[in-house]
Amino acid sequence: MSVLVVAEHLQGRVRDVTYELISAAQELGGPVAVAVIGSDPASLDVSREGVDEVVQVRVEQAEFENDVYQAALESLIAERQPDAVLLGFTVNSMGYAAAVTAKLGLGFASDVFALAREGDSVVATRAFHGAKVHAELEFPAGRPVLLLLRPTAWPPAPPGGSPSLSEHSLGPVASRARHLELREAEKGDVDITTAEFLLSIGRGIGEEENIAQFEELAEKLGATLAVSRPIVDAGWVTNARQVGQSGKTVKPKVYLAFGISGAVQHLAGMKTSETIIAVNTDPEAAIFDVAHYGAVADLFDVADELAKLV
Amino acid sequence: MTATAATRQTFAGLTHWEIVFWYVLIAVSTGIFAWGVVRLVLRYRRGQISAPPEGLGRRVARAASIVLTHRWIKRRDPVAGIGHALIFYGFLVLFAGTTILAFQDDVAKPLFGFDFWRGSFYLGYSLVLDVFGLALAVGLGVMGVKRLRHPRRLDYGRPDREEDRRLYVVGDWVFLGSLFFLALSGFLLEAFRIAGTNPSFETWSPIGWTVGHAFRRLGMTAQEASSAHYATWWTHGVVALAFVSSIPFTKAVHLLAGPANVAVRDERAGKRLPLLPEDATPEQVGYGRIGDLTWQHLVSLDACTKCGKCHVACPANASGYPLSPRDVILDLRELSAHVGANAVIGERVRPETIWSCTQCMACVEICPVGIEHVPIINQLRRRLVDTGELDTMLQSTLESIYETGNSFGEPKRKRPRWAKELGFEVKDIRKEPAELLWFVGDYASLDARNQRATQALARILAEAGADFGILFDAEKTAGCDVRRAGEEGLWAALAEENVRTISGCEFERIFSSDPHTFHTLRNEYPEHGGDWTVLHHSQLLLELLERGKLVPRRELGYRVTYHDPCTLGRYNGVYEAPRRVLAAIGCELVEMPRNRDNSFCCGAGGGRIWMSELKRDGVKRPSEQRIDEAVELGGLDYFVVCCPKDVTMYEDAIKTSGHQGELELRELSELVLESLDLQVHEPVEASAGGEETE
Amino acid sequence: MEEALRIRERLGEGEVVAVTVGDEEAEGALRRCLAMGADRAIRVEAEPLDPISTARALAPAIAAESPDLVLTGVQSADSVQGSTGTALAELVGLPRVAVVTRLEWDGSGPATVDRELEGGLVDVVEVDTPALLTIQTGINQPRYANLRAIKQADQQEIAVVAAETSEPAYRVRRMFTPQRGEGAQLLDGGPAQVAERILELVQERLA
Repeated sequence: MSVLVVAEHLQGRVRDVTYELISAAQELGGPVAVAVIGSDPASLDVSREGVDEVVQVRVEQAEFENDVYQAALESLIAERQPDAVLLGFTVNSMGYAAAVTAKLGLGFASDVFALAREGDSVVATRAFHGAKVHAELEFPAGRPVLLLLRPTAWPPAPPGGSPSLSEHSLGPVASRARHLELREAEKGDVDITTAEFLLSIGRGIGEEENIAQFEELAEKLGATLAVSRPIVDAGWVTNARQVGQSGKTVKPKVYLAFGISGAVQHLAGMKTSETIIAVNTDPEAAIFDVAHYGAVADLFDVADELAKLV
Repeated sequence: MTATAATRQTFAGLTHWEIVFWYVLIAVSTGIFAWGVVRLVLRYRRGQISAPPEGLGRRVARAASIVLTHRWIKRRDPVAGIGHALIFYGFLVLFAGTTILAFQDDVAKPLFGFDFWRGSFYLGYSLVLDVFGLALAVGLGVMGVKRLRHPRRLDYGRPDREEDRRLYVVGDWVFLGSLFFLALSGFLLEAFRIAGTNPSFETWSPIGWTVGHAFRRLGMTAQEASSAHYATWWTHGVVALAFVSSIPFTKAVHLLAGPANVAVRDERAGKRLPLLPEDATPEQVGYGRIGDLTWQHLVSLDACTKCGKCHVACPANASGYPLSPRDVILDLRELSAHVGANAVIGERVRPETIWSCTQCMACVEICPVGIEHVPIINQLRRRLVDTGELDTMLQSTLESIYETGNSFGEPKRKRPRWAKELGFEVKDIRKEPAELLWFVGDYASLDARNQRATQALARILAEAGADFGILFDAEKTAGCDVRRAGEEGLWAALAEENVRTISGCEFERIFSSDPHTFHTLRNEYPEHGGDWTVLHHSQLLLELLERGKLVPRRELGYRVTYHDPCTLGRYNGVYEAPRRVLAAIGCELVEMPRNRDNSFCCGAGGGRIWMSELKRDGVKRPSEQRIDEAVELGGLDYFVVCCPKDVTMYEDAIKTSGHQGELELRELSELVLESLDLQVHEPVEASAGGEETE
Repeated sequence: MEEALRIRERLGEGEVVAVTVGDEEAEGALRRCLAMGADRAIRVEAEPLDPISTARALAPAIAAESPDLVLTGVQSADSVQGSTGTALAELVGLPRVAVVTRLEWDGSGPATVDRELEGGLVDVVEVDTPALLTIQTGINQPRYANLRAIKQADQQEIAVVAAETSEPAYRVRRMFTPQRGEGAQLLDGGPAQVAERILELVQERLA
């Protein structure tokens, strides 16, 4: 089953998701071709284990633009007729993948986190209904399928491999949405509502001095620190980080709660988180009713151990 | 000279032209006064027509009784009450005296030849005016001294912004000073007259007599006294006329607007908010401009004397929130007086001020002139809700209530879940009749800590053999605080739906353990067709105890204090039922300094429990101040409440105010249950470590 | 919706039309838009099963309006597809930018928008109009639609447009509940084991 992967790059560097796509592509068999679209595609190294061919598409634009990628992908599909096209489920792909699909009438699914090959066809798994159910999807026969894969769902393919090189020519594209510049996103106040991983602390931490420990832990884990109301009430942390009825409603991928008993006002603000892990000394704490994983343990001990691990 | 001949010449020592000039001055000052009053009336007429005050006679009688007895003015400050009464009656009697004299001189004598201002009438008149003149002076002295001591009440500093209010201070002193000057110059006038003419019968003006004779002893000649009299007469007269003409333009306007407002105010102000017309346009929703106020509310603005009773009673102001009810009224008055009906309120009374209010009614309750701060603020909120200028937390809570019927955004099937753990069946009143319909409410149903109290109450009722049922998942937020947050449409929708649900049930009485629910069901649902007997659970518990249905098996002997919930106490006057329940189960009740109608709000009301915390600049929040107040009493076992929001607020406040371990909270039902000493009951001890309300 | 209303307020003119696809139940969302201030609402009568089919159902109705700007959400919280808007732009023939976090437009000519990329970089893009933009949640705080306005919106007419069903881009073969018990699955062992397990879980779930 021939697979075409479109590489993602930014400011001259290939993004990790590209390598993850290569890993996923191998699950479908092969051959695996990786298309690199840019003003200097040769400078971008995408040779990884499992890549059979690298297709360089030279265009005027150095950075991503919807119309350019759309034109390039359409032209690649027309020429190469791949069975499957794999893109990352990223902000870039969201700008053109569905357009290509609609135009060419492809099979399509986004946010796919598992793939399988059954005979000549692909089966993709994604979540529905707020991740409460998962579904296996199949696609119309006889035409390519374009899939947007969830970043980090596959391990990156290791370096190596010796793919063949080819070039694909594309005429100039009139881009209707033009890249102007890249700049750093404003940091501003922390926004706990968009964080994917929240480490949330409650009254169980006891003293104000203990906050630093959890701030550190959050940083190590790559989590954003959130708190329950008593912590804000005590004036230890600003209410920008407060989760709950009188704070913010959050829905991260992981909500790791330390010392939060789980008053209904708090639960109202976080119970729809995808995965809730709670650590509390009190086995009766209401947080365990909504948590997917719970540990009845001393939260400081667990925090210490976690800090050691990362 | 005999006593019957006793009198004096009104315009002694004045020439004909001087007298004419005097009458011209009177005409001018009366004209200015009248113009001022007309201006006020025109201003009030630009307000909205609301329901006309019913029973005018009854209202006037009630207002007269309130004004004459000073029973509103003297509350929580008897000294001010006495001071004001002295001024009030002094001024009134002196004014009456002048009127009598004018009547005699300008009507009775010239037209009918009737000359009554002589003899014993004159002597009595002299004595009465002397005494009340003294009263006026003493009263002014009392108020002056009060002012000099700079009480917090009279500090015009605003909690929400810096503003130069020295003009207010100057105005107050000019007001006090001019009255004092009038009293003083009146006495001097009398003294100079007596010193000049010295008729023996003037002993009936004891002060004038004493001072006059003192002047004589100091060597004042009759001639000198006469000249001094002349000068003082004009000064006194001109200042008096100036004062009268200034009444509609200065703080003195409260002489008119105060009693008027007491007469036209809504006796149920704040307790039963006005309905919105079905097809209200955005301009008809709430107050956005001065012209949106009802004429009664416009009158009330002028009634304010800046006495500051609301300012010190307000829990928001006490906690550093940007709200003082006094300033809301003053801001509106300034807009009304200086900008007019088209004045946009939002620029002066800011949203953060409007959202700071807990609608606890402390200000309305204590206002000596009956100003309706709470419904005014509620109207301001209605406009903010309509234009979408609301706190994001409040917005999402209101959206939750709309979508799920409860403020927690919980699925409705969870509402009756607390009843599952009772070990006995609770009747579904939608399916079978019961004597009592228990409208449980959001917090009592869904909040974990409150569920313990709710379950305690259910066990008590079962023990008493009470026949009760609940609405299970058909119950929706009653909406008391939705309404007080200004979302009138949502309240109406909730009320309609709850009325429909309840109307399909068979029962005799309704009760709730939530005073907010109790309040709106009892007082506001009738307007949506729900006219029932509604009880608060404290009343029901008392009834069961008094009828012997509940027999405490154990004298608890706890030393407790009790917090009056705003919606139970001030809103509904239920002060005694919970206290008598506590007495019946053998608790010793120690009152906090602020109790009953002076109870201090926990800070949750008016939808504030759903809004984000406001900046307080390090001041403790109302609930924490309240816990401090309780702890000060010393040696308490329990802080007793009978409102689910109080349970939430004070469980939190005990911890955050640093009094954990010194004081515990109990809901009234929990103590009653304990006194029954049943074999099976839920442990109510707060569990250790990691426990919190949020 | 909020962004559209703000553009209208900023420009001082313009018409905001709310469009959705679905059965009568979908009108609730439209009523809310009307309550917030939309001028008109259109419901496309169809029950598409996937984002591409949704776009196909919407496209004729959108094209008929020939709007200057089409705003859609990025993705539904429910199924996280992130594809309808982009497909729709293609079908209507509009330039588009996906995942917009800021929008600057003076009512004619190109608009300048921000796309927030993964990793904290913002891509500033100039897009010709008419255009379609998929708007990231959090770009603004949608105004409150109060009950009075919702009730009045109930009186407003919602135009209903029929759509043809197209072939779906995928078919659900099997649905299953991910392994996750009722209540918390307890992590046993000492703090070290618990910590280890937590770390595993975090890595797995973030992946």
